[in-house]
Amino acid sequence: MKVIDTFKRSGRNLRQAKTRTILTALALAVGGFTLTLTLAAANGAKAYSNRLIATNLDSSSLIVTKDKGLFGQGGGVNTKPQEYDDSLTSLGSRGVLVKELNQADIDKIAKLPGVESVFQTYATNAQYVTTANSKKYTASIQAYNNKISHDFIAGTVSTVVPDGSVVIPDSYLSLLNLGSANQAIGKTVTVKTQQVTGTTKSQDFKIVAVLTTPSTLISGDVGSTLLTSTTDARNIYNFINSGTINANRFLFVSARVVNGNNAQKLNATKATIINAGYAAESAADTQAVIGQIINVLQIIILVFGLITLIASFFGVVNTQYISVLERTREIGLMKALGMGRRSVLGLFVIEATWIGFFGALIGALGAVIIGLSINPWISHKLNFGSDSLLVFKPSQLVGLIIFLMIVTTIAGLLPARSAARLDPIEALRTE
Amino acid sequence: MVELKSVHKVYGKKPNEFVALNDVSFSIADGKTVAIVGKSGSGKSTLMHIIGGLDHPSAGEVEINGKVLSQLKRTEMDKFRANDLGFVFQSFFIEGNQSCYQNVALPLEITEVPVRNRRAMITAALEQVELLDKIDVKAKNLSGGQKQRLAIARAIVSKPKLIMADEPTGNLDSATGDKVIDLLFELNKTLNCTLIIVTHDEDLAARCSQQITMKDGQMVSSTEANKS
Ligand SMILES: Nc1ncnc2c1ncn2[C@@H]1O[C@H](COP(=O)(O)OP(=O)(O)OP(=O)(O)O)[C@@H](O)[C@H]1O
Ligand SMILES: [Mg+2]
Repeated sequence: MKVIDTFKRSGRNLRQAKTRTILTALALAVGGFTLTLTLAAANGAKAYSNRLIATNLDSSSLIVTKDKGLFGQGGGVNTKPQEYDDSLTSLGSRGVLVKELNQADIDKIAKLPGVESVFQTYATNAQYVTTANSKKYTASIQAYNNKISHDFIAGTVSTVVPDGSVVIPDSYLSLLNLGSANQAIGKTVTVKTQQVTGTTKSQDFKIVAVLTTPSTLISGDVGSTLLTSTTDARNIYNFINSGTINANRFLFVSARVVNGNNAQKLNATKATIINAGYAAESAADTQAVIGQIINVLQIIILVFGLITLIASFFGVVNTQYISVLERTREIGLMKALGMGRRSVLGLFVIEATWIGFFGALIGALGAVIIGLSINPWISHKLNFGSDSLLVFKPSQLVGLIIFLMIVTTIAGLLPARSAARLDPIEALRTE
Repeated sequence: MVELKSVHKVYGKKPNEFVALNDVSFSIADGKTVAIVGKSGSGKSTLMHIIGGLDHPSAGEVEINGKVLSQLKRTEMDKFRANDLGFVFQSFFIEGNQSCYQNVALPLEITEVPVRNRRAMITAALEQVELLDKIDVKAKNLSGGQKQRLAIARAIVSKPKLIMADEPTGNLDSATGDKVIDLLFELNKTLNCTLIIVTHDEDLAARCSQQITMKDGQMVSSTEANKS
């Protein structure tokens, strides 16, 4: 029997048992649907976490702290009484004490081999930001870091923000009556800062660029962060913190590593910094933590998908056994007329493969259609910004369909084997 | 040449065993028409299945055109059945959900006849059994006699050397039955194939060149008419 005839015959058989074919395919489609969505969600989550890292962390730098607890290492942030150390600062309102870096630490880190320079964001909170014709809004100030990717929607920054200039997120455009992103370029905003003693200071900044509010979770309120030159940020930081314990002390600094894009160099420098008594983490470390969470979630859904697949597997086995029983006479006839075992086997196996193809196609297409239609809504609900939760890759879809076809083919083997071994005389005797 | 050498067929195990064929020996020359007659349950169908290699004798040998069937490998046996034999089964065995065309196409698919040659062979076979107008009709919608003729068309489509028909007229009125028989005899002449017919019909048996009479699994007589 030629392959083409086998295909035609099995196609005809499936069409004759339409309801059964469709139901079996649908059972399989559930597995295909789940697996397609799982893969798409994993793609989306990976793309999201990559972007999250890229927009928040510089992959060639290390984040350095004095307190291992801040990275969740060494038993977490100190909560027990401990020996006094003048680097201890209380963090937040619960009296949790952490060690901070001072200028001596920073100088020491900067001189360590492999460290190019130490970058500080000088992150502080301004009292408010305003313009001549708007209300006052809260804002935090940070130094612009050119090693982090920024999505400019108007204007641009070449490596450094000039002193007296500022980059604002688009969330301020309407609040501060700045008009469109392009209209905002060149306009002036006023930043008011206040010391603990009550002394305040106003400072004007010219807008040089506008960012999309990044899809961030890591640094909290980037949607309300103004980016200035390092000098400006440092001056503001020193002004606000002068006379307090926070003056010239920092929770984190960022150590730029020579050739830091080379993972080996980055890790060597990381080891050097840790040996010097600090804690250090790279963007990859942070990504690994996020990646692990994503992987665990993905495995859980994948297991559910595979369980439905196992159910569909036995569904196919069952259907094909029934099909063999129903067609005992037909099989007997074909064998009596000289059809070989291999052809009979092929006929039934290909039927199962077809069911696999249809089931997988229905499942995958259903997942794509439903996924694409709910994607904007669900991505919005999850605050994914410009990213989508579900990312479908054609190559994965094709791979999944082929995988399911292989699974059903295997499921079809056993019933097909019993068909192939049928004794024609016994088969012809069944009325 | 079909030759049976003391063929036995025993069904079942010791205490309940049933001897369906008991020491049957005969030979049929090429191109002959043979009638196998006998009462119901005398072993006619069993005999035919053994000649066709569908069933295996418990003892004895079947030799067809120099091939001893018990010595053939399974694939060789399949080839032999597909290429050299045409079967018309006692209860038709046509595929009701498929069209007449597809039913007759089955042996051609099995022997891997190129697709382009098939239609001509199928139309010729259907024309001979006068079913050409039903070519695309589903087989289950045919009448009993039409089904029987369809089964014959399927048996003759690949022009086998040996045609075996198990009561081909059992379900037909005498007029249609005669037509079918005429057709089979005509094929015997034009294709020069050997024809083995199982029948209860005395007249039909008389028309054949050789009569084999079965009784309780034993061959009681094998007579050859003087005419060929
Ligand atoms: N698988 C089997 N197991 C037991 N006995 C069987 C089996 N197959 C056939 N027989 C018996 O063998 C005997 C011969 O059967 P067979 O079908 O050859 O009869 P037949 O001559 O063709 O009868 P009919 O004219 O009714 O078709 C019967 O008694 C039948 O019961
Ligand atoms: Mg019989």
